Amino acid sequence: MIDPSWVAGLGVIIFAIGLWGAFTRKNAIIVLMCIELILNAVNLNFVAGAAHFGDELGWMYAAFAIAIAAAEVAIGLAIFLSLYSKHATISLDGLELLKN
Amino acid sequence: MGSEISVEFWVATIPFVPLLTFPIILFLGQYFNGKDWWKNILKEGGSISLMSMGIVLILTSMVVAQFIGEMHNGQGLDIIDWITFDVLRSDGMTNGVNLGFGIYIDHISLMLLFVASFLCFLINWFSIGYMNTDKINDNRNHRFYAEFLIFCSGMLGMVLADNFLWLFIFWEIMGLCSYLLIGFYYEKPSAAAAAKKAFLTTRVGDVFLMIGLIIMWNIYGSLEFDIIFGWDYFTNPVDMTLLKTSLILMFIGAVGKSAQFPLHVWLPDAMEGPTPVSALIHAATMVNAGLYLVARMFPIFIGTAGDGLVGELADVAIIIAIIGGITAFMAAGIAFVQNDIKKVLAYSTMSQLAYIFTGLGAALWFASKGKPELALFALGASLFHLFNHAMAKGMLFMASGSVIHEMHHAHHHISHGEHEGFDAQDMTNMGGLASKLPITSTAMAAGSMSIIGIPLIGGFWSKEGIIAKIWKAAIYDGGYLLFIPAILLLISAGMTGFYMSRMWFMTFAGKPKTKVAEHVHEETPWIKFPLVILTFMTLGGIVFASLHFVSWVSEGHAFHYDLIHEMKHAFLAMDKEGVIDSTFLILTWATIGLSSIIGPIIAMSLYGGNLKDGENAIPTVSWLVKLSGMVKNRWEFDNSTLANSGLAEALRRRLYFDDFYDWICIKLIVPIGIGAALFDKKGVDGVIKGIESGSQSASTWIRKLTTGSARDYIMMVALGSLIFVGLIWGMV
Amino acid sequence: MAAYDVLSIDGGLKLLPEIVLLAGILALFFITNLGDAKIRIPLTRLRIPALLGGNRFKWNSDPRIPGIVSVFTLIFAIGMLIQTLGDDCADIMKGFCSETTILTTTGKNPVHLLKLDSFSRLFELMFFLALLLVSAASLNRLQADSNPSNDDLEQLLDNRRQVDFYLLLLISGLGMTVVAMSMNLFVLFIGLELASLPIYVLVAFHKESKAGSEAGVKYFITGAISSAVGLYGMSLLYLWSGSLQLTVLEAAWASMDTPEALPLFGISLLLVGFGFKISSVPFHFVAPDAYSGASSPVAALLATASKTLGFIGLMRILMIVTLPETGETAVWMFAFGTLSVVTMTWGNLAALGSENPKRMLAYSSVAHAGYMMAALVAVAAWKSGSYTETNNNGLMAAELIIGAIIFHLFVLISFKIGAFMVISHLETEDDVTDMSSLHGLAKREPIIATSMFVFMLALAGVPPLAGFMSKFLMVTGIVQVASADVLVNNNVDLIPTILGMHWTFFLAIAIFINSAISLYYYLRIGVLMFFEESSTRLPLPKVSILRFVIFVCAIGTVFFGINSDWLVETVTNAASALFADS
Repeated sequence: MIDPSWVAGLGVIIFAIGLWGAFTRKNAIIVLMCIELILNAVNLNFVAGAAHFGDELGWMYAAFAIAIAAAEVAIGLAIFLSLYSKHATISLDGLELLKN
Repeated sequence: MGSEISVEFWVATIPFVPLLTFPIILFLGQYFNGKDWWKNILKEGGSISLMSMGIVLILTSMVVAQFIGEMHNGQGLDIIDWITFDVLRSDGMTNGVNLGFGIYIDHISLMLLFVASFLCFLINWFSIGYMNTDKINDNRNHRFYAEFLIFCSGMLGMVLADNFLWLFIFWEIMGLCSYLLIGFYYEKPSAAAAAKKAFLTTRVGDVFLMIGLIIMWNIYGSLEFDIIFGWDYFTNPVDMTLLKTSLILMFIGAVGKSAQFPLHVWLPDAMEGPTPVSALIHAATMVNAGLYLVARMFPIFIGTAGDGLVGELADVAIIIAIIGGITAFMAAGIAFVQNDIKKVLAYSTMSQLAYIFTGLGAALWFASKGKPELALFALGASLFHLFNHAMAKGMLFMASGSVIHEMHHAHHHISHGEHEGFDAQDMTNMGGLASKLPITSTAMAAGSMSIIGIPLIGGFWSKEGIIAKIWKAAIYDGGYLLFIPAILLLISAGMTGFYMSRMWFMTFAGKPKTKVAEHVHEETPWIKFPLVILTFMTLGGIVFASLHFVSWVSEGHAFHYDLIHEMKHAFLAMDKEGVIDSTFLILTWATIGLSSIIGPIIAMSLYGGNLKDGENAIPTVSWLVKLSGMVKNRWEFDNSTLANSGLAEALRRRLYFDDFYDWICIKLIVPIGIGAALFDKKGVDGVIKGIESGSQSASTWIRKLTTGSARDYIMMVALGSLIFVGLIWGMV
Repeated sequence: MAAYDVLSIDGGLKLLPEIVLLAGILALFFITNLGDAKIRIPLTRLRIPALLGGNRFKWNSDPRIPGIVSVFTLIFAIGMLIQTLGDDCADIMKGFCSETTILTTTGKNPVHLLKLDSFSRLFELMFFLALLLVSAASLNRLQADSNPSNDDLEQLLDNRRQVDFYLLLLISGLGMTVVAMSMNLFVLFIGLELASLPIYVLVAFHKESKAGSEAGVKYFITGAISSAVGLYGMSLLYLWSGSLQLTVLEAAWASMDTPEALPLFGISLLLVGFGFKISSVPFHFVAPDAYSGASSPVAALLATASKTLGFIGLMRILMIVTLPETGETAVWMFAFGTLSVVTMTWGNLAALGSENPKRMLAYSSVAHAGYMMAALVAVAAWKSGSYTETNNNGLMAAELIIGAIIFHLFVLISFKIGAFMVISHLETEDDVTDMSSLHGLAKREPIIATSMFVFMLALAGVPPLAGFMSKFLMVTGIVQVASADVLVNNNVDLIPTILGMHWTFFLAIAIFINSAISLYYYLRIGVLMFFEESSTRLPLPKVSILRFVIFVCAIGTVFFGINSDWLVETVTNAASALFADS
């Protein structure tokens, strides 16, 4: 069996990639994917923790986190769609109508 | 307890009734000004405000009926708790402070409450007659009634407040209203100046009062009456020098409010306001605020003496008594030469208030010397004089208002609207009005008698009491300095006899001195009612004393027993055991002789005289007129040398106080003011402008950081995570 | 697997408000979808009505129905809330005092997931009140035409969107109640997401305008990242302690001798998630954009309910998990102290020059978050000074301060929502993009202008309004803590005592200075309304429900300033309940 700390270590790397991608990419959908990466890092942690501590709740946390991520994606895409219908772009750059 | 609680609740609502009514008048007046029904039915707000004052009067009567005679020890009641918190005292203990509004009831506040609401009601009634018939007031009387109501709520609130802070707040509300009402005819430069003068002069006193209150807060850690009055000086000793300073500073505040020497200069000028204002504020109620403040110090004196600090605060009492004595004498002197009927009354007010101050001084003296029995008697006498004086002076002012009003009308009638060059308030234009103004002349006679102290009439009892008590303090208790006010008061009693008589005879006796005076008629409605009511109140003052309104006749016996006892005391200087004190017997009769016989007779011989042939005065005063005619025929003498002497001139110039203060202002305060203005403009304004423009540019800069780019925001979130991690990690 | 001891009948009855809310959501869904659709039974010609779908009936085609259902659901829920509290109380006016554990796992380590007590009940009440005000104010906001022609597709869609709006509001409310009750970090997070996801949509709801969709995207992206980071922090905590139960975490934290990397990183990242919710610097950037892009009622929701969510999280984390044993210093004390000062100053400075009323309110909301964060720091200082004295009400300083924060969050509902409602009312006429919309409002609408002025004064903390009361309580709490001798003498912080005061005293000074700055722009609104001339003197369109809401808010603002006894007692009860959890 894989040691849970390796799983958590993978989680750190995925988290870093996700965060880095979130503020370097300008395509909204890719940013959303990066957010999903972070959430997956979270899942890895939960799963690793559950395995390590033998805690059933950990599995459940992971399952719920996946559900939340799915809901978030659905809502995100819907919002991006409305953005696209008005601005004809889903780039995060150039959204500067509201500022200061 | 049930019913009591409800009564307490009603007490607390008293100041709020007028406070809630005034905006109604103001708004209605703003919208409906000039409409017929507004003018005739609602009397430009007068009816509304009368109704409001009527409610106040009913509530007050309820309260007085509930508590009368049982509240010799004050009781504070918290009505609204707003904020409660702890204050750390320098000795490490904490005081709970409640910023809510509460009421404090004892016989002092009950008495003032009644005086204030009763007189406010009557004067409101009078105003409807006086203000609404004057052309000059057209379309702005709603302002008058609104300000009048705020003033009333200020006075009622001040009397009921359960701590010095609320007292001070209401005190300032009154100050503000006084300013507004004196300057009611703001288009008249003299009225505007008088308003400014009154405001600034009382402000001087208020500054001292405020400092005094801050010191007091420092001493006790609270301004609540309950805490201060119930202080235990054994277990929590206080710095007596500091306490003395605080009390004296507070007294200076009272001096300003009650127009005592040397802050008295504003009161005569304040007569520029409409007459109801003079009656209400500058005679009957507001000037009593200072007296109330000093009377409020009484439990402190009792408390310190009771806790073994006998005589520690006696100096304060002496100062109060001496200031009173000086003012009584000085104001009476100045009143000798005034020809303006309201100015005479103004100086008379000052003088009579000074009597009360002296009486309070005696009361405080006894209290601090550990003689609470005598102190209570002196306090009772002073408060009773306050009552009598308020009733009499309120009426006198209203009567003088009636005279002025009718003179004005008569002049208007004769000269067809030309107002120039005629002073309706000048007594040298009057004379012989007794036949034309029957009710007014009777009322004025009764009021004057009360002020003079003609035996058996209202003011007699209390004035006699004050003089006896101050002399008692001076003779028997070793307060040599107290001989100064004692002697001054005795002389002033005679002077009062003179100037009050002079005023009455100049106005009502003799032949009319001008054509205007011949055409005067008593015709204005609404004016008579308050005069009649107050005449009875004035004449029968002793009845109220025996209702235990004040702790004057302290035993709860039947009325006639008290009366007889009181008469024995007053006329024979007999104490409870029936022993006659010869010193006081002489003193009593000296006072009566000076004030009731010598003073009036001199006045009669100079200013008296029969009416024009064929005219008859109302029987209530005709004997006075005839008496004055007899005296004049018998003893008339020429006083022109005296009248033209330097002393008379000095008195006419009000002993140069105004010139002196003007000089100080121009030489000292104005340059400082100019300098300060310059500093304000260049220095302070510059700094403030700098701060403003600085913060504006900081704002612009800081808002530029909100770039509008979502990617920047995301980056800030990531950065913020790092910051959190860094700060928390760094902390460890 | 874990089994759940779901709800005894008794415990279930305590959840009536939530059940009502759920019923309201279902009702909203079903009522508006009832129609004349028929199903043909196969192979026959018999058609039976299927009820769902098809053309709507006459009675449920009125577009106002969703709003009305929503308002009544919330009123009913509040009623149930009041009904279910006080079971163990002699006197309802003594605040909320029943305490029940609702959801318990029955596994190896039975733990309480949801709990009802004064704390959660009070917050539920706050959420319901905020939602009620917002949904009442939105009744006339969306274009609703009761008799749309069948050709007008736009109009028909608009009518359908009414349902979405209120459905989202109510679902969000359900999430909020979960947050208020949760005793487990993950449950709290689920509640938070359940509350936030609908709000993301609500912010973007105004999709016809460019600004609306832009605000929605920005708010969604930033919010999603923050909460993901927060969740990651949470997972780190889980890795460390093996549980997300608050009590377990607290015990683990207390038994930690030397600081460990895992929990510290976990807490830091978790604070990011909540920091975004309360819009603290540097997570506040999107707040003004979201406020100005969203419709005013939604912005009002962001400024009150959403912020309250964040503070519940912060209180749970900071006050339960990481508040150290007496005499030690909380790790976050210094970080939070610094950030609170930066936050309040940033908010106030930015609001100072802001020309858009909604952005101004957003920045002011940032500043208010700073005040409340400063108060949280004082609690930590109180612990670190082993200061246990009580004040005259017998309360510990910590309870006083937490109570003050809850008080502030509560009264914010009256004046913050009130201020946004005034702007909402102005929006019935035209978009509000700069201050000129407020010019001369006093001449056009004296009562509304006066109410707005009252709200502004309350925001500035002028006595005797509610805003003063809360700020006063906070500052007294901070000063009381900072001036305590014990704290000054046993100073264990990085910063030495200055002027005989603990450094938290400077937080009080910062609040003071910031209040002074803020007075400038709050009063400026008054000046604009009362002294500037507007181009028109016509009154605003008559929207009576909006006026009613504004009026209610104004009354509340004044009432809780003058007569705060009940509320103070309730919030201190709630604060004690919070501390009693541990």
